[in-house]
Amino acid sequence: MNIDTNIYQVNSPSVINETIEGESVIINLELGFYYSLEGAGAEIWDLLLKQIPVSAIIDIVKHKYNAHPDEISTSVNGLVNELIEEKLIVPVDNEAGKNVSKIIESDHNALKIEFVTPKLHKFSDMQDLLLLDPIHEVDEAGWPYSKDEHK
Amino acid sequence: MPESANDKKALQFFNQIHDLYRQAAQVAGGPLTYYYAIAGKNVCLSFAGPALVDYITPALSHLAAAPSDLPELTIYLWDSDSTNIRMRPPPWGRDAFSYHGEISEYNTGTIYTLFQQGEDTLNLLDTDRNIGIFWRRDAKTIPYYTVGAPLRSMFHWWMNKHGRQLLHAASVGTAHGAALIVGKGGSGKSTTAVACLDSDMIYIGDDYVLTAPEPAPHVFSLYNTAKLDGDHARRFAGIEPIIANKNRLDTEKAIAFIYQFYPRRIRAFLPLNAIIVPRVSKGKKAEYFRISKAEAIAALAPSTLFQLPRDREHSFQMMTSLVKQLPCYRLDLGCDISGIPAAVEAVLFDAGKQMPL
Repeated sequence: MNIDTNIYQVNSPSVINETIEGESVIINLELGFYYSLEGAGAEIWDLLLKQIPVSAIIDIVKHKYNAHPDEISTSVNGLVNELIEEKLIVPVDNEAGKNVSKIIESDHNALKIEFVTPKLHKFSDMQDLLLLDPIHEVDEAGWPYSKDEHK
Repeated sequence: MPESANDKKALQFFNQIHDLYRQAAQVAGGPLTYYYAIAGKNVCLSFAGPALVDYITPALSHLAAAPSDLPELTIYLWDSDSTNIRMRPPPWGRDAFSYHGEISEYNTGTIYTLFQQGEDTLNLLDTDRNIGIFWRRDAKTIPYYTVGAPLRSMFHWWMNKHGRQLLHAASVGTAHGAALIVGKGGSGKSTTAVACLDSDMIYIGDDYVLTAPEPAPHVFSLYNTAKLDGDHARRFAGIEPIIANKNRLDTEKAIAFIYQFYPRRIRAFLPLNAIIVPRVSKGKKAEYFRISKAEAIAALAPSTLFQLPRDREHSFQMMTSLVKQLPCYRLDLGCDISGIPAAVEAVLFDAGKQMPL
């Protein structure tokens, strides 16, 4: 497997997000989808926002969570790819990665947490609020009007 | 900062439309002015003639205030049909309309320009001078949903600059505080709010309210409208007789102006004590459960943000700031709507125990 040393950031201004009490809510304002992440997924999301390289994120997750290292690598890379496909994150053209050694050292003696494969929950139930009909009719001055006058 | 080309043309267009309003007001024999106290702000609506008055003012009637020499926001409203003042052609092509109707090159830091599709209204706001302009080709065919929630974009933009956030939410409460009821269309917000009219509870709003997270969370009434599917509205004994558009329920949702019939049940504002995410359920009775704040934000933010033009990031920040301060609940509504008010009161009682002293 290729080691992903890329750094990413939120695809703003299209995407906004908030993490509260270990759960992340992510909204794509342009496409009308919203998402949630919890547990390890929310933690990975927060680490991405701190512009920590993916390879370092994998190390952090391996250090904190109890699972086979390959399972963790596959899960983190899978989530990152999904976030890219959903246009929620974009790569940052910045070679300086964050120093993660302090993050790992601070958790050195902590018990490992059981690892649950992170799942990006996607919701499309409000997409229709963004889907406007294209303008069909305009009056003689050039202003649109809706044909259905009785609404 | 130097004025950009877009700044100049946006301001020029605004001033041109303002001039047309003045002409319309002159033709109509002078403006008709109405004053309101909305979320603690003094707002003046200045109509060029009477044509739009009966379509715009009913939803705001509960907030009517004494005339003021110095309103904080003045909105000028006119239509071409009754005043014979034609709107000038748009200085942009059809391609300029973005989703939500924002005209990108005519939106700057202080000028907001929106053509609301479907509603067919032009909405302009100048936040430097605190004046807005609303135009429609005619008044007679204004959609029912605009009558129920008029000037929504204008209030969103201006209030957002003044620490208040427009939300797609309902709110009811007691004298001690209110619950904010959030969720997408069809989730049960209106059902919950309207069911509480059949009790002693206070009604703040049904579809849109204003909130402020600072200095302490508060909810402000904006529209006194209740809006429900026609068949569903008939389940509420207190609403069915006061539906304003009874003869058009085959194509419109039922609209009722609560203030006209229950003036003492409406309050201009209340402190906010809880957030409720309602859910239609088949159980016998209404039941509530604590949920995470993230779940509440997911119920509140998308349905509000996807409807709002501009300033969405700031709006989201205000929403999350609000949610972080309040306990959050899911309310399964059950089949017996008469049990909903007691369930909401139980939520508020439980929330009172959660709040810091």
